Amino acid sequence: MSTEDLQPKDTSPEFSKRRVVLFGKDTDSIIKGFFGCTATVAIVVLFLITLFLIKEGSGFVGQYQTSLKQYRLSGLEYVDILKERREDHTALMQYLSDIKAEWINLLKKEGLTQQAIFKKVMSPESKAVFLGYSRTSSDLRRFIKDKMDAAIEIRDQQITNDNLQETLNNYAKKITEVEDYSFKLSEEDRAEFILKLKEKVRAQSFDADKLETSKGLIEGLKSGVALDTKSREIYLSLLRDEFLATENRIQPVIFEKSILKVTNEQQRYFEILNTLEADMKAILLKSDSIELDNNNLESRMERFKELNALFFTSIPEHKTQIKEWDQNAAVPLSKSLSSFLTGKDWITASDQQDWYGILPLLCGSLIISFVALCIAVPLGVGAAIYTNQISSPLEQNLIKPYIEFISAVPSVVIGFFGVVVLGEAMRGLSQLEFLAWVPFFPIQERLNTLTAGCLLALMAIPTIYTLAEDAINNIPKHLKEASLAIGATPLQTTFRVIVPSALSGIISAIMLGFGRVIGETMVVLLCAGNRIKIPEFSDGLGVFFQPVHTMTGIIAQEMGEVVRGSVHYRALFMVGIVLFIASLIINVSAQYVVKKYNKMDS
Amino acid sequence: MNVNFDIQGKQAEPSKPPKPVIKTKNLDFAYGDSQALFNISMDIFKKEVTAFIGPSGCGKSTLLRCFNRMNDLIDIAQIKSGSIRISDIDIYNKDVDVIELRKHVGMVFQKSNPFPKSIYENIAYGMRIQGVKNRSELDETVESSLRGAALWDEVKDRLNKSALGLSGGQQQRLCIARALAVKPKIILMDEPCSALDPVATAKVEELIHKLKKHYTIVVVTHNMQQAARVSDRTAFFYLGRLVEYETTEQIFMNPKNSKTEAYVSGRFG
Amino acid sequence: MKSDTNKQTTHLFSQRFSRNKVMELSITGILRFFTYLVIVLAGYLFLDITYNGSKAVFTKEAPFVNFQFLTEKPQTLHVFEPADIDTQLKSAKAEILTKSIKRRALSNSNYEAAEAFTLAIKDLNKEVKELDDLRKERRLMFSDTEYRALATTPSTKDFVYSTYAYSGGGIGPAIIGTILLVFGSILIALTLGVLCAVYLSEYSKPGKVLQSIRLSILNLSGVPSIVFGLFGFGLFVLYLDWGVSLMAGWFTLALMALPVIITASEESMRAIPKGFREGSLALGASKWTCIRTNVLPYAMPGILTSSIMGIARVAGETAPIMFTAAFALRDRLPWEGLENSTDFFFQGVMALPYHIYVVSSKIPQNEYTQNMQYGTAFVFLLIVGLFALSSIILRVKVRKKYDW
Ligand SMILES: Nc1ncnc2c1ncn2[C@@H]1O[C@H](COP(=O)(O)OP(=O)(O)OP(=O)(O)O)[C@@H](O)[C@H]1O
Ligand SMILES: [Mg+2]
Repeated sequence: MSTEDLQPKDTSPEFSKRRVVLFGKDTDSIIKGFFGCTATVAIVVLFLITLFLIKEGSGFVGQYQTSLKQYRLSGLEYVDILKERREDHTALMQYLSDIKAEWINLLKKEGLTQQAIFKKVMSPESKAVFLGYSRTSSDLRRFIKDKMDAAIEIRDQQITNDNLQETLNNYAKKITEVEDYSFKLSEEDRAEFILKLKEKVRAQSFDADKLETSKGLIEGLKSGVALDTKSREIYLSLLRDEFLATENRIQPVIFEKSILKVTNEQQRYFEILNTLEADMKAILLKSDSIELDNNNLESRMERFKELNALFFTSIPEHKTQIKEWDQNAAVPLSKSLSSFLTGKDWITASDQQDWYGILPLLCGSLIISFVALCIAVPLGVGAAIYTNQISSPLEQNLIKPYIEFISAVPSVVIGFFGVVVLGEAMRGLSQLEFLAWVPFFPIQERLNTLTAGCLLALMAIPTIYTLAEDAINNIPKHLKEASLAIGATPLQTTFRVIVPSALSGIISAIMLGFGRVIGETMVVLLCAGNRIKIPEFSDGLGVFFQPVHTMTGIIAQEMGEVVRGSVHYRALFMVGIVLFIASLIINVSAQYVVKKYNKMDS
Repeated sequence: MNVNFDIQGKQAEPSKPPKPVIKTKNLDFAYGDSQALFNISMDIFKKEVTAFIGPSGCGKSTLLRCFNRMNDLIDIAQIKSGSIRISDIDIYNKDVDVIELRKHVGMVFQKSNPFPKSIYENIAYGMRIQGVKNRSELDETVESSLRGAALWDEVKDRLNKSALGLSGGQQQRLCIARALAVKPKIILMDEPCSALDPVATAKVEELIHKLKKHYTIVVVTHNMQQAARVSDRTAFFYLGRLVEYETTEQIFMNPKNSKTEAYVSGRFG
Repeated sequence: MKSDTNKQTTHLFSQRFSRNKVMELSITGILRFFTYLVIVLAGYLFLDITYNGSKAVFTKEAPFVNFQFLTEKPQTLHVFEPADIDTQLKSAKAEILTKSIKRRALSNSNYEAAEAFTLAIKDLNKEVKELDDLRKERRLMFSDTEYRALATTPSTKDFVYSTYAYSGGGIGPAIIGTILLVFGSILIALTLGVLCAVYLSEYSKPGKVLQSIRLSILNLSGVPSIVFGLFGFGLFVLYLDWGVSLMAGWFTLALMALPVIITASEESMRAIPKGFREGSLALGASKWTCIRTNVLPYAMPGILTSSIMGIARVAGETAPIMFTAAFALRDRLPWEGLENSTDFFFQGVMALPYHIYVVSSKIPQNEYTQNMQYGTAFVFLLIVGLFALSSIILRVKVRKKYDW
């Protein structure tokens, strides 16, 4: 071998002509095109998610508006106004029976026998108060029930009409289709055709000759082939019959008229209210004769009277509200959106009005996230500082992968653990006698905000830990050295130099942890208790022991049962959009925090 | 199989009149909005070593990378006017196959960039991507290239070891060998010795000397002595302009331009 | 530099006690406590599930693995408790309850009498334990198939009969379903993701558009999984009418993993030094050759490690498959009873995560259902854990090997 091989030969260079493979493109541009296509597909599909969510969710506004319109037209709204006083009365009754229960308890503690207690509580005077009070509202209740039934009837008639109208439209469409000569029978059509034919034959409503042919007809029918003239005629006549039958079943609702069934008898209602007021006042007078013998109870009784007084003062206003209610008041489109965003009820599949208000779910999600972050932030950030700054290298090498590994634990497993172990443990703990002094113990529900929050904290810790540790790790070594060199202790260095400079990273870690928590589904579905109600913040710390429902949980729970295109279906998509936007905001602001601080550094 | 390169001093000027291979005419070049080269016209001659000198940022690398269209990789880079012809072919013509061009015009970078493969595979890479599978052919080329780069004796026992285990100077010579393996005719070297110690630098310089017999070489350097030692011609750039382009002797002994004089005598830059 | 403790000398640099030091120690202590608290809590979860789950998955005898549990279909469990022992147990427990109430009433006034009750309760407890062991020995448990095969069912006179849904048999179809779901979705996500990343990092022109695409992809990776589930349900299941099917599940999961995979792949490709690319191009490699030989091979380990982590996440998700791919119960294995081959893709499957959800929310917790609940959770944790662990180990190795 010689180096002559290496020497370039003096031939004319080969680069003068470009190689062309296909359509004037060389291999490289073809490959580039291929990658470009895939990338476009991937990116387009990812953006499709946003579009699809918005498309499915946006129908909600209109549909919910229709639903709210019907609510008003059918008088259900009117009935709901009537119901307000009833609810108030129920609450008052509850208050009174609470007093009674407490009284019995007190008497028990005093060591009285069962009989003595019974004698006291069931004495004629107290009986007159406790039982009499609950009887005062029976007329009111009966009246409201009647009105409600009337309103529901109107609404149901309207819904039936809507459904029939839709069927009618389908028939009309079908008829025009069949009239076209190129119409081909599909498998479904064929089955339907035969079924109807048989029905008719059974009903003997065909001419004799048609009847005879029908058997042959059925055999001759094939799907996917154009119909012959005769079959078409028969099919069409069948369809037209159906069309007429359906049309006849529609009995249009005239709301102005039918509403009268609901709104009549206002005068009687006012009378009922007046008697109610009189009865209640009479009973309240009697209440002084009960010997409660206890300051606390007596003050509660006083309070009860005050509440009653409030109830009485609200009645005139109630009356004007009823008089002024207007069936034809407009329901603007914005009303539907605002009642979604600020609605306090999420009630579905009820026999009255369905409500889609996101507040209870949003509150549930937020309060659970709050609990989770309260636990996860100190633990996650503390662990990050510890491993990065204080621990030995060996510890570091063990702890880091370990905590990272926790992040891979499936949420459903954590949720399962919560149901089986943590929930039980919390209940057991709260029932221990020596912990009875803790307020809210024993807890009512083992699955509540705190249970779910604790478990979510476990999920958020790895996220917060990993990102915060990264942020701390990225602080240049020279900062630390400089601080140590002027005689600061390692811990001072950590807290005065390192942590402040990593603060933006740590904050963004916490935010991403928040994103993880608020988007988590399975844990809250399994462990949050799933009660759709705005938590009662008036309970103080007890609010953390209430069961709640969440945005993610509601989608998971209800999505399987909804009808495509219904208001409910779209409402769930709206919740999805809210979640989507929330996660975007959290993500973007986390990035913003990092970016802004980084700029300030440099 | 001993190979003796005829080491030529630069005193041994080629007797024949030199033949230009790279002809640059009125080249204007810009990165986006900022122009990096202004109206460059120069011929680079066959089987000579041409050195580019000049202060940092004056456009030496840019011009060098124009010669094998490495600037295509930078999206904002664009030739505004002028042309570069290699062997009388306009290399920025649409018809030109960049890949063939780069095989013809090899390049060695400032920072040695061996692939994280074995030494053997590094050298064979260029052949493999051209579809050469024949083992003996590969072996032969690897050996001749390594010999050509004066590296064979140092690495012949560890051809299958990772190239990342070589010293800096060896890595640079490996990169030169890798460039030789695809049998280019022109080799562009962008500060090949800037990361090397004096001994390794001397070896590379020696190598350039040897290679001159068969290749046209363009070398960018910051080291005046190096330029003086290895090159036949020297071009001095300043702020994107070609200030002076003469035989090396002339530039160093008798520069016409005062800037050139100041620069080569180390008074600025 | 050894400090000599024998000599109590104080010099300029000697250790001194100060309040600062106490503060430091306590803060260090708190931080250490936090760290180990996390470790212990998570450890408790692992141990609890491993301990209780391994009872279902492993056996004491020869093969040591309960293949029945791993391969059979879930079934209803039929339990026959011996009636006589059952009544005895109930009365004993009632006795304990009354005694403890009495003891509580006495605990303040009459210490000795209370003590006597305590002793009695202790005895009763022992008795309950013995009875319980006996009950466990004599009770009969059958899975659905076994129950149907019985010639004579145990008489209800001697036995108290109860059934528990899902608690018998095993989780075979769920394991298979999960494996199918995970591998299918990974195949889709990896192909699409890597190709997309190659385009973004190697071919596309940098600029505002690319920047915003990159940012949106990054943000999409933070979108809650239930939103992807919602999307998959709306688009694949309803709109495209695929029904609850493998296909719908694959695409939903793949889309969820896609942003993670694209971002991770792009990052590992951009971490490849520029010199590798330039070196190869300068030797006359075409762009594609350069990517194939000098970018992808070195980026692959990084892509894979991050992807495996993404996969572990995908495998662990329940929300996206709840209404796109998972059935609570399905008797047939995916390849059984198919009429034509496309049916395979359009059938729902059982999946471990959904099965865990079902058995932990839809059936009560007791000793009979526990086996199924913990067993499923354990197997699932094991599978996902192996994915995650391999990714973590791989990453450490890769970091050491490719350090440029
Ligand atoms: N990729 C790029 N994008 C934009 N501008 C660039 C790029 N590369 C170089 N430049 C600019 O072009 C000018 C010339 O750069 P070039 O790298 O050619 O200088 P040089 O003479 O090689 O300097 P040095 O001796 O430091 O290597 C410089 O002003 C530089 O800032
Ligand atoms: Mg340069």
